[in-house]
Formats: sequence, structure tokens, C-alpha cells
Amino acid sequence: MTNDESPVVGIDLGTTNSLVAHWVDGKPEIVRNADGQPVAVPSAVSYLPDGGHVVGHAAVERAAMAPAQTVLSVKRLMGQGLADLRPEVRGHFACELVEVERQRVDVKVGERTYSPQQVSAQILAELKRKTEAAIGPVQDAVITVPAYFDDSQRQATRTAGKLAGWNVLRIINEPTAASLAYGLGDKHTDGVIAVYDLGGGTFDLSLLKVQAGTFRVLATNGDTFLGGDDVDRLLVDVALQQLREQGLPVDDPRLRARLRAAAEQAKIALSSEEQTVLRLREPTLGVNLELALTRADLQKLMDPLLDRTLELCQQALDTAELSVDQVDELVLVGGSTRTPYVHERVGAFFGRTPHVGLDPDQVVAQGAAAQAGIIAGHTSDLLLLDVIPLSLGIETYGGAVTKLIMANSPIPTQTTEEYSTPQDNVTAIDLHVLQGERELVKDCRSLAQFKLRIPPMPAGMPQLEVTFLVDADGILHVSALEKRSGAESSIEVTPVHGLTEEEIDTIMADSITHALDDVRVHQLIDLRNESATVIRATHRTLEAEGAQLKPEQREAITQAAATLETLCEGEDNDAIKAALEALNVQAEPLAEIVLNRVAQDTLSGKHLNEIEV
Amino acid sequence: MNSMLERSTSGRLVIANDDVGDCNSCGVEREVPYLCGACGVLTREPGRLDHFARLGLPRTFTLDKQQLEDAHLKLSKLLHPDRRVREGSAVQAKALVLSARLNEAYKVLSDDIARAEHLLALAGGPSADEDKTTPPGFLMEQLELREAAEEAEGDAEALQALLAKVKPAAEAGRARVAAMLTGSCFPTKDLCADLRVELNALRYWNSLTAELEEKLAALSA
Repeated sequence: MTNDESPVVGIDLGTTNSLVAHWVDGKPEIVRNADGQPVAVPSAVSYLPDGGHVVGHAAVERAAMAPAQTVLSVKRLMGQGLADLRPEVRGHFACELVEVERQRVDVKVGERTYSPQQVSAQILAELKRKTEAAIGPVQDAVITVPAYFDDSQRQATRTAGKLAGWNVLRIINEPTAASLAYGLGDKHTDGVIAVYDLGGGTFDLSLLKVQAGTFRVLATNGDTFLGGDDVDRLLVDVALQQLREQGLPVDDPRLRARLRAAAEQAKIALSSEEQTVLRLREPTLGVNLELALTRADLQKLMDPLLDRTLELCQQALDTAELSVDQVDELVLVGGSTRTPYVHERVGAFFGRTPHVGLDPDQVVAQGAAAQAGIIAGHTSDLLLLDVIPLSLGIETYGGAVTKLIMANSPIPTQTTEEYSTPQDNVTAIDLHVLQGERELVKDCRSLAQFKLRIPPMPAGMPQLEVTFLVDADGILHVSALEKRSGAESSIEVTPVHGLTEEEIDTIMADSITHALDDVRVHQLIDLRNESATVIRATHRTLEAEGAQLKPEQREAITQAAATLETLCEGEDNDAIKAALEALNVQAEPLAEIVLNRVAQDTLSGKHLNEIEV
Repeated sequence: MNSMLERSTSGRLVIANDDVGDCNSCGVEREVPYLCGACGVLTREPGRLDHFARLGLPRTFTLDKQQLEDAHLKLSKLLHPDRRVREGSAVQAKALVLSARLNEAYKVLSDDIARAEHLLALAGGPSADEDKTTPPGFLMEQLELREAAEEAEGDAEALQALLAKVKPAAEAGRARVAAMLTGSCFPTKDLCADLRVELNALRYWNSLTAELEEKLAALSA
């Protein structure tokens, strides 16, 4: 690398996984560690009893053992109030959620609460650490968000970046980033591209026109509550239903966490196999689940979700006044699009084979790095012209919303409105800005309150010219000019969501503690907790069903439990793990009994379509 | 009346080119007053530009859509703040404002009614707030149609029948607006007043059409 350009990166902050790419030698490259593996961090944070935390793979592993202390899919909480979260999404979180002021949902672990911004910052900080270990010091980053994220969700992401120590150059839309990566890879790309982005938690469709290095967004549509995770959730529901029918406990959070992981595995297996079995054994709870699934079963579950995404695709086409055959290229983004069935259905809708040759997991980070290159001035061949995804409006009389800036307007954009005062000596005018397509305040998302201060004048005299400007980052700026005096009005902004500047400063002053590297001590604590739970469950099940076992079987189980209990007083992690495993093995006959309580042949091998979901 | 306007022999209004001038930096003739397409330098705007001048287009109602698109794209590329990174934050800030104004102009000119309103305003005609006149009997007719729309709630056939009446009326209104703006008599005071009346009526037609279409869409959802 001979350039002396300042290093810049693009970050794909995903619901399930986060990835980084950097701009080097005139193009974006995924950042790799010394082993040549992409620097990727699963978007998971697990909090330890003493206040420390682990991020990434360590957190994902810990999720099964300590689900209430682990935060997965924090992206679903960004910029959201409790009322904004759908019930299924809330149920998805094993950790406790609390609503705090300014409609923010924080995560509560023990006595400590963490805002989604802080949790995301911890993921971003870990990414920074790994990136710098690979390519040296770097500050500047472009971070991506779903195209359909509103202003609050974008601000929350920007705040998270700042808290993690990044200088956030811009927040850009994931499908737009993907199109940049696609356009860079394929030189003769002029035409209309449709980017279908189905991630873990969100769906976006963007239509872009590419012309000689300029990428112009024509229309965008999406759903920030629709993603691959929802399919996992449906599979989990089916498995839970079966467990319920067996009279087994379904509320155990560890069981659910393990079920979710098993469901994801089954879903992935069905991409390459016609059928699979979702297996989960938790003998100490009496759980011995074997759920046979075929590809057809999975497709039936996926259909409503895919139908919804294609509805949104049609809406975007209508907005852009394009027909499906005017689309020249179809690009699929997001791990969920690896499923052959998704390829099939989306390809059928657009009447073309999706473009292959781009890794759907890497393309967003690569595009973000390209945009970072553009903003840093490292390239002048490319330009991205994006749009605002949702309309901006202000509250007027009777709780109605007047739209100021329409959805899909190219940005930067601005509009100017004139206001005056209804009474004498009014010294402040309040403007309530909202985002959304509906007509009433209650159906839109409140963004911020702007208070314009003016000198006292008779009613109707002030001529306030208020300019609403949305910049290239999609962020709203409000400025006001009192025309008679020519004076610029001062404006106080109170964001409705998120952290105030003060709160951000406080958190930064406290300094984000780094994720722990040495986890052995904490692993011991976890193992002890896990063992205690398992031993309790074993004794309970033994009491309830043990009479049907042979005496030597009962003896073996009791012995194994006792051995485990003794080892837990020591500090040998590996020995404890082995003893746990041994107890599970000894308890298998117990699980068999539970299974036999209901006629075996009606349950094992029961197919999905026979179970009511 | 704006002294920048002059009539060509066909009677259509055009913007006088000598108001745009040559670039002070490189001497090349400019198409828009605030930017040089050749050397890229940004300059002060001479007062408030109208949307046509902002895009470097003639001030006419009939517009070549492709010409509008091309002008917008070309100027967007030159004005976008991301293209001004190396020139410092002051220039970027200026580029930001100019981009926003460019996009505002593009939005107005792409919509027939907005474009008509803009031309009317440039000709010194009355705004919708200043003159709310509608054709005789028009408001009564609108009231009746609205009542019919309320009664047709949930009845797809009735809604379709109403739309079949409303849409052509709106179309006819649009055609009259276009005719007024492309005729050689614009912008006499009388014609401006007549145009105001047509545009006022069109607002009602558009809002009624939208309502009917929304009711129909709700039925098929």
C-alpha cells in the first residue's frame, strides 16, 4: 500500500453479525485478521455479575447459560420506545427490558441498566479494537443502517459510534451501500438496480439508477420489524407447542435459548437438505425433542413473510413509477437471502435470476467502505445520491400532521415555511416535528420539539421564515429567520428519543470499559450456576418420575449429581464441564420415561403440518 | 415584472442569457448563475433565483422530462457536498445549501401543478391564499360529490363510478391550465386571474381523487 491517504472504514452493524471493510488501493476490502479471517463480531453482548462484559462469540456462547444477562439483536431496540416494539419482538429478548425517559428502552441486568446505544457501542468498540489490530489506528467510519430506519434510529446509531470512539463520517442505508459494492465490482452496470435486503431483523428494498459512476436512489421501502429471525421464532414456536403437548415446561429461558440456536441450525440445514430433524435434549428437564422438518414445511412458514416483502417491493416500484421489467439487475443482500427458496420467490417476482458473485454477508460493509472513500475524498469517480425514506411533517391544530418533506425526496433537501404569532407578545413558537406517512400525530413517530425564540411583537407582526433542511446524512436541521428584523432566531432542540449531548458526554467521561479477554474466572461462576440449576432440576424430575427407574439407574444419577456438586466447590472448569456432561448422560433414562408417558409413535416423527401453529 | 424575461418570436417566455454571464475564474460561459460547470467554482446567487434559472432551463410550462432529468443529474453531481470534500467546510456548507435548493427546484418543476403555480407566482399572479375564487357553482358540485363519496364508503362499484366522473374533470382542468400557460397571452392580468381560479379548482379535484382512490385501496387490502 503506497498511498498516504487517511485510513477509513465502512461498518455493517447488523442485527446478528457485524463486519468491517476498509478503503485500500482504490477499492474496498474486508478487513481480515492475521489468520486471514474476516474481522467479524457477532452482535451480542453478555454482562457479567461484577459489571464487566464480553462481546461477540464469547457472548453468544454465554447466551445459552445466562440468557437474562445476554443481549442479542440489540439493533431491534435502537431508537425505539417500549410501545414501538411488537409483542413478538419483546418476547424475543430473554433479558429484562425497561422503559426510561424519552421513550428509550434500556436493558436491565441485575442492578445495572444499559441503553441500546451503549450496548451497540460495546460491539462497535470491539470491532474497533480488532480492526486496529489488523490495519493499524483508524478513526473515521461510515456505519450502515436499514434504509427504513427513521431519524431516531439513525441518531441512536450515530451516538453508539461516537461512544465507541469512532468519528462517524456518515450513516448510510444498507441497500444503497450494497449497490455501491455491486457497481464497483461490475463496470458495465448502468441501468436500474433493485436491491432486496433481508437481514436478521429488518427488510429493505431500494431501487437505484446507476449512470456513469453516479448512484441515484429512486425509491426505497421496507419494514424494520421483518427479518430472518422471525423464521427462527416460528420454528421455535412449533417446537414449544410440541413440548407443551408433552406436558413439559416451556418457560425455562435456557431451554428457549438453546431452542433458538437449534431452530437456526435446522433452518440452515434445510438449505442443502430436503429434510432435517430439530433435536434438543435436556434430560434433566425431561426434554427429548425430535422434530422432523422438511423443506416444504419451512417454505410454508416462510411464505407469509416473503409475501409481505414482495408487497413492499411492489410499493417501491409504484413510487418510482417503474414496472418490474424496467429493472435491469437484481441484487440480494443479507444472510437470510442465502436460502434457495428466497432466491426462487424473489427471482420469480422480478422475472430474473438474482445477481451472483457478491457475498451477501460482505457486500454492505464493502459498500460502506466505498462511501467512506468518497467522503474522505479518496475517489472522485463515484457519487451516491440518496433519499429520505420517510416523510417529515409538523404538528398542526387538532393533532394533525402537515407533511413538509415527502418520503423518497432526494437529499440534501429543504423546505421553507412561514409562521407568525396568534397573540401579542408571544416570545416562543413551538414546532413539533414528526416522521411517518399518516395524517395524525398519534400515528407518526415524534422526532423532536423545536422552540423558536422571538422578540415580543404585536400579534401577526412577526414573519418567521423557518427552513427545514435535511442534509446528506439524512439529519434534520431547523433554522429560522425573522424577516422584519432580519434576525436569526435561536432554536432549542429537544429530541424526543435517545440520549442528550449531556448524557453522551457523561458516558464518555466514564469511559467505556473494554470487553474482557480473560473469561476463565467468569466461566467458573457460570458453570457453578449452571450446575446448581441442573442439579435442582434433576432432583425434581427424579422425585416425580424416578419410581419407574431401576434402582441402579437412580443410584447412578444421584451419584453423578453428588460428584458435580463436590467439584463445584473447586475451581477446575474442565472437570466441572465433564461432570455436567456425565450427569446428562446418566439422566437419559429419565428423559425416556417422560417421552413414553405419551404414546411414542404419535409424537416422534410428527410432521410440522400436523401441528397447529 | 421581472426584467430578466423576454419573449422569443414564438411567444414563449425565456430567460435572458446575459444575466448568467461568464465565469470569473475560468471565463467559460455559465448555464446557471451560481456554479461554473467547467471549473466547478461556486459563486453567490444574484438575489433569489427562480426554479427554472436554478436548473438552467427556459421558463416555460411545457418541459422535456428528459431535459429536466439530465439537468438535475448534471448539477447534482457538481453541487453535492461529497464532491467538495477537499475544498474545506465553508465550501461544503455552501454546496449543501445549493444542493438542497436544487432538489427543491427539481421537485417543483417535476410536478405539473407545482410548476404552474410557480409560473403564476413569477408572473406576479395571486397566491392560493390571496384569491380563493372558484368557478360559479363549483363548490356546490364539490359538496355533492363529497357527500356521494361518503355514502359510497365500502361500495367498490359506487366508488369506481364516482372516480369515472371525477378523473376526467380533473384531466380537463389540467389541460386548461396547460393551454393557458403555453398561450401567447400569458401573463396578462386577466389570464393570471383565470389561471388562479383553475388552479384553485384543481386542488379540490386532486384531493377528491386521492380520497376516492384511498377508499378503493382500503377495500382491496
